[in-house]
Amino acid sequence: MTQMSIITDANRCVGCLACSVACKAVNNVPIGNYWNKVVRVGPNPIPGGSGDFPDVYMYFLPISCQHCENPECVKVCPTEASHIAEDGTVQVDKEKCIGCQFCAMSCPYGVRYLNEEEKVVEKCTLCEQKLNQGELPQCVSQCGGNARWVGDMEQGLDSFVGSFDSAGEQRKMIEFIEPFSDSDMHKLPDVGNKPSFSYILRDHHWEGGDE
Amino acid sequence: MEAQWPLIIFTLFVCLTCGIFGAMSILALKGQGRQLQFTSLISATVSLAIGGFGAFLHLEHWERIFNGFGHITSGITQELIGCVALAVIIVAWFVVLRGGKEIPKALAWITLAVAVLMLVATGHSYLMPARPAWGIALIVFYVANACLLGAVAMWLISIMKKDEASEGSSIQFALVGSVVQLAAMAVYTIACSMTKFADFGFYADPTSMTTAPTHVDSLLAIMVSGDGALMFWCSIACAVVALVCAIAAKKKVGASKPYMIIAVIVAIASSILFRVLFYQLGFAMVLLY
Repeated sequence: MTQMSIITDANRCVGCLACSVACKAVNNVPIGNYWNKVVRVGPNPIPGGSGDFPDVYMYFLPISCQHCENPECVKVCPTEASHIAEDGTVQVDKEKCIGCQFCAMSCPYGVRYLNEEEKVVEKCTLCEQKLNQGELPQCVSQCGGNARWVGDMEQGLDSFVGSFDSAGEQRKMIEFIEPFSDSDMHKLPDVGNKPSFSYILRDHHWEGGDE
Repeated sequence: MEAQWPLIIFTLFVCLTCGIFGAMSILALKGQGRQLQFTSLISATVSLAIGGFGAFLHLEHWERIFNGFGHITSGITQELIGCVALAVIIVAWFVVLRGGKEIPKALAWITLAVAVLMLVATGHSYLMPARPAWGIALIVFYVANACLLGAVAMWLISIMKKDEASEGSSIQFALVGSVVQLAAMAVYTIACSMTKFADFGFYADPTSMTTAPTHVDSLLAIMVSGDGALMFWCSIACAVVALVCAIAAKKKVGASKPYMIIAVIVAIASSILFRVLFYQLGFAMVLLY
């Protein structure tokens, strides 16, 4: 079993939107559609603080298809255009899509968009065209803060890798990022879809409910 | 989210079709409505065709409908199966009626069962955990709405055909149907009052900092006094008017046409308004732009 996924270190994300721009550029995402979008969460009050600055905190949340283990979008698709690929990612066969958009309605994260020109639904493919060639998803390779890491959840955190350093060595997440515990790992709210993407957030309260 | 008119048309006419079939079957089981059956059958067939056409309008690539179509967990597939089952029922009724025979009780029971299953399948298509307002209460509403729409349709047909026995029964159906619809609306309201959304506190879209983020604290507040209030209260008012018409017409069998006209109009209005409300309340569970 394989479950390709992305882990985002929210403490490292600076909200530069490079991942959004890179995704747009490499996947030719239409204007108005966002396969990868960044939300600024906060400033929210620090628990126990005054509620005013400086007792507030903020983090950025890059959101794309979470390539869920139990995806609702796949269940509701009448033609199996939305399907789980061998690498565990959720993909859309655009030749099969009839544009009913039920998948977009069933997604809790609002990350599926109708391509008005092709009249089919699209979303993050985890850059499968690049992954299949041993390359990194563009949002990972382009991440200026080294916050994005890609790997196989089934193989564990050791498998997550990021961009290359100046010596040409590929960075490994576990060796590169600051220490974190299991309690620092979070997922977007789960309504039974089991999102495979994870977020690391240390020393702050994770908003949006927990997994 | 925006109202999806093709889907509103589809569900409206599916409920009407199933309601007519339900009322036809009950009348047949009571030994009534013989002279209404052919007109009712044609009405149900036309209604199903309009609904199906409406559904096609929703598809961006309708020409690919059979391109691998048939994923059984999909509500759309289940609805298509239901439409085929209703088409088989239509053929069966047509064959029996063409033969000048009485509708067998077994066929009436099967018709009733298929109509209910079709309504459940239609409601089930919209059961999405991602949209807290679209829960199991939707199925309850669709079944109730079919009761009301079917009842007023049979009321209209019975007056057209001057069948007073069926007219009396149809008025009774309309009374029950409007009460059931009001009850279903109450169930839906209670269900909405129990929904929860993911709360991210303050947040913003960095690509559109001047756009206020959407916050939903309570669906009930949106329904009762917010953006959905017009649809909510008007749909309830229409259902109440339908109930009043049915009550008033009870003792005027044979002269209930004015009440029937009002009841038909308000039943359709109530059905459409409540469907628009579904979409107004159809916020995603995670409300991040």
